[in-house]
Amino acid sequence: MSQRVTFDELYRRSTQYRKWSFTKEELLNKRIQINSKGCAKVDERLNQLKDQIEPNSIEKVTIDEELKLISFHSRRIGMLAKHFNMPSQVRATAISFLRKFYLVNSVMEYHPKLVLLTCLFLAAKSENYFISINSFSKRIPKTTPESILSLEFEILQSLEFTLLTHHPFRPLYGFFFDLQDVLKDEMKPNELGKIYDDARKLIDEALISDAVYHFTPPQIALACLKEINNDIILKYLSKKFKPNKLDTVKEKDEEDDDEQNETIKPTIENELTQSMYEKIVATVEECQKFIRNGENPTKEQATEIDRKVQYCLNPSLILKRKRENTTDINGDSNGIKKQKTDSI
Amino acid sequence: MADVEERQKDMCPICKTDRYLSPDMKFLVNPECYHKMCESCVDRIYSLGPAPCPYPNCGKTLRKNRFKLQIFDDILVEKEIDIRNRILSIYNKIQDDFDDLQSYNSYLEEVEEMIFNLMNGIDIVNTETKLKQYKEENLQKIDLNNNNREKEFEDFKKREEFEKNLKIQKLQLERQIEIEEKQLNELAKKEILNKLTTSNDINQTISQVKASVLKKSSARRKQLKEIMTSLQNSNNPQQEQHQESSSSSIPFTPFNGDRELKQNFNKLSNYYDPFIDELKLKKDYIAAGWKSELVYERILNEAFIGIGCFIQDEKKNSILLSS
Amino acid sequence: MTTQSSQFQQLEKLGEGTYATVYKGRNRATGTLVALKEINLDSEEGTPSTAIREISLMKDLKHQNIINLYDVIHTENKLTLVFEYLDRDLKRYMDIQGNHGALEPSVIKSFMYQLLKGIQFCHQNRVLHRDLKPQNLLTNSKGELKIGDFGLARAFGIPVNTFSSEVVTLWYRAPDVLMGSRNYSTSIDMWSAGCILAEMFIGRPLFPGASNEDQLIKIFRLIGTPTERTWPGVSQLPNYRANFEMFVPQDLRTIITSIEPLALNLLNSLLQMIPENRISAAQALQHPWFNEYNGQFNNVSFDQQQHQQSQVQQQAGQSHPQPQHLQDLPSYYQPQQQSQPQSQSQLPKQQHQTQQQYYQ
Repeated sequence: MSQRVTFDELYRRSTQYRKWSFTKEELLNKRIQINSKGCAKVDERLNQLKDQIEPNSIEKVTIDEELKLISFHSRRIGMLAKHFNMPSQVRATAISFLRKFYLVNSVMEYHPKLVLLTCLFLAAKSENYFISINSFSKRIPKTTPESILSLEFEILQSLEFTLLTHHPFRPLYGFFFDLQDVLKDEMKPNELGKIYDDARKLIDEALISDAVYHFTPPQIALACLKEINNDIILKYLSKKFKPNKLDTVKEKDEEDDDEQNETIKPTIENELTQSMYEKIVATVEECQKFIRNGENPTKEQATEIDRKVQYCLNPSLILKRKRENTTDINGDSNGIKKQKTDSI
Repeated sequence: MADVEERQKDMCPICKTDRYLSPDMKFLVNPECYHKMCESCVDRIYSLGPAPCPYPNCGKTLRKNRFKLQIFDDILVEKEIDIRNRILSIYNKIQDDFDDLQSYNSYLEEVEEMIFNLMNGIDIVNTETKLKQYKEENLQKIDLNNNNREKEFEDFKKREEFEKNLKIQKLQLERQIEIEEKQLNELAKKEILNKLTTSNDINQTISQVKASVLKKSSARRKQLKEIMTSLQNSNNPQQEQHQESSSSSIPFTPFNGDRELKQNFNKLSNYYDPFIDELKLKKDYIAAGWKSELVYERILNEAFIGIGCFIQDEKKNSILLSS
Repeated sequence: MTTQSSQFQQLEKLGEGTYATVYKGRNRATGTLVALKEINLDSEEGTPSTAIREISLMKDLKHQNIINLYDVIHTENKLTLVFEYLDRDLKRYMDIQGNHGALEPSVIKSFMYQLLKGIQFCHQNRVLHRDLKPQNLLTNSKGELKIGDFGLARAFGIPVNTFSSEVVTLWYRAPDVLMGSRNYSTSIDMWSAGCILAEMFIGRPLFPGASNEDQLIKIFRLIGTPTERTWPGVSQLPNYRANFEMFVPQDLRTIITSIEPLALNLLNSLLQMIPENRISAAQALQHPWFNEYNGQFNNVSFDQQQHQQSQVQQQAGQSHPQPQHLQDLPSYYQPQQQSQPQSQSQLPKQQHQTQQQYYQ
């Protein structure tokens, strides 16, 4: 009867839900597609050099390696953002831009170490944290304003101009308050404050996991909280969503003015069913797995993949290396190589 | 022959009373069988309770309270009107209830067929059960539409009445203006005469007086107009009400209304949060209208925006649907 | 996705926006009219952050009372935002349709309701518009009103953000912002909404200040000069001066004679000097002035409503907003007569006054 739009419905209207939420199967398919698109691009480049290079002489990057490299660079965004003293909102949005960009493009098309800078600059703009392009590029070695800005439109287009991103920080903050109410007999506020702080750190981990594509910000926030303190969050969820605990909720409501009470009651009874509780707990636990199993490649792993990507992006490097091998390696030619890759 | 029919039309077939002799006589019919009889016969036969119809070979049991005045001479027309009224008080949808004209038309056709069936005794049992079933299924909607129809009719009557009153008042005011104008003219004449006796420049005096009269009368007119419009506005609850109902157009809103009012939490008046506690004390925040309650509420709301969206299930379903 | 700019035929210039030029355009394929907002990319900073923010917000703010962003087109040196086209802005509507700029009460109510709906949606989505004015509200022949130009809008954070004070065209700027507050929130949009409401009644801006200082004086003249006693903390605001000329609050009806009591009450709630006393968009939508709009949504489905509306429009075929009669009014619905005793009792007095004027 009531046609008021629910909070869930509001979320379903967001571009984050409409465009950037996927089932696991969808996400995997996307990555397979992107990877083969990237491979095709590499083959194209090789084809142009087919007189000089054998077709199979370049090892392509696998889906798993793509993921590892993106995770590595996502973490680098985090460090850079801290270096610039940017708010966590900017950091989180930049990470989300980078990861979304690679749901449309392969690392064999654009190297993440360039894309990440533009993502960070773009995120700063879209989150209203002003930093001029000059002071931004000055503090990052080997970049120019042009190199950062040149990718701006590619990124905007890949993101389909959907820039508004909802992160789990605010929902987590909300749960921090609601926990104070629901568990007031069990926990002291400052104990909850500790859980909140720890969970907040975990959100960074969630942001570079695929949890962001499969779960909503409140679910991720709950998962982070539950990772920190399983029992207390289970207690919270059961008090909150289990129907047999309804009485406590009702009593509290009755203290409020009657008018409000009447409008609240029926909906609570409708929504708070046993299955709702189970559904939420199952979802949150599933989400926890994603957060726990986030990629955290070592620097060595990343460098290894990075090297492969360099060749994929620029197969002619092989020729150069062959030449270098014959004329012995010296410092100068290393410098040339660096420059070349940076200007891609 | 025609003469006999003409006579029969004005004669009660039961007691043979003739309208020629008792001009006040009224004919009543009962929708059970539509056999007409005069009022005094109905009183006589049915005052003590239900009784069979006195027509030969009819025998339907009739009740007094169901007798009604015969409006149409042709009893078939009378019967059809009754059936029509009865069906339409149940099948009372209006065009706006339908998505397109075609479905409205087929609905109307269905209604006509039911009326025709009942009228001509075709398939009465089925039609009646259909009617009953429809009534049960659409009880609320039927009531609503009937109410609306009544309301429309009432509004119409009120408006009519109001317009009538307004016209009367207008006439009165116009007459008043006329009288006042006459008086003013006479007054002016007198004044001219008075002034002429004392003044030398005749023409100037006349034009002066004329101007002042004109001024007065136009001011009067203005006043009267003003009174009229104020009458129109104040003395007119019906119209206001009417306006209200017709302007109950709702500017379109995409959610058919508003956000959910129910909140998923109890809002405490205060939460533990050193950061907000600190802000609460800052004078420039207070001056700028910063309120901790609003902050609490917004943050708490955000904890529940999307908590019940289960992406894996929902997106899977939407993929299934689209494929 | 990759729309070509050649897809649109550029027609006349509609105006200069805050950071862009707006043209009327026509989709060559469909003939649909659109508004093309062209943003130059010559800037050294890449895509201007105003454009980024506008795109970011508009992509997510899909609401009937907010102008729709269809597409973004990129060409060599410019970015073109393709917006839904509406016939004219509220300022022009008032000039053309209004009686010396003033509008019919029923039209005002409908516009105000839609404006508040749009604002509410923005605020729920954590977006401050910050530049509400009649020029930024667009109307069409169906009587719809939509909020446009989000160039100055921004998402607001919690619990607090500091904003620049360079927001909102002077005439619609809230006194707290004029006095240099940087901690403003949703209440600044509500002040603007109040100014717009008044303007629809009187046909001209309520506070047409020439400078920051003059703007404040104009506001004080009507609403009264605030003091530390009436507005705790006001003296902390950067532009506050202890020697502001003192004015006592005036009855708004001295300026807006034609206003009905309930509308006056809403206007008073919007034009509150102290930001926290200003009514919120959600509260304003529940105001008794809008009783006839409230409580009637429940039975009407989306399609039906749309259907009815288009039907009525066809029948009406006029440019004036045509009320759509709701057939499905629930029978239990009775408009609440939440009387405003104070203002209602003053109504006869007001009429009396107008009559007296004529007798003078």
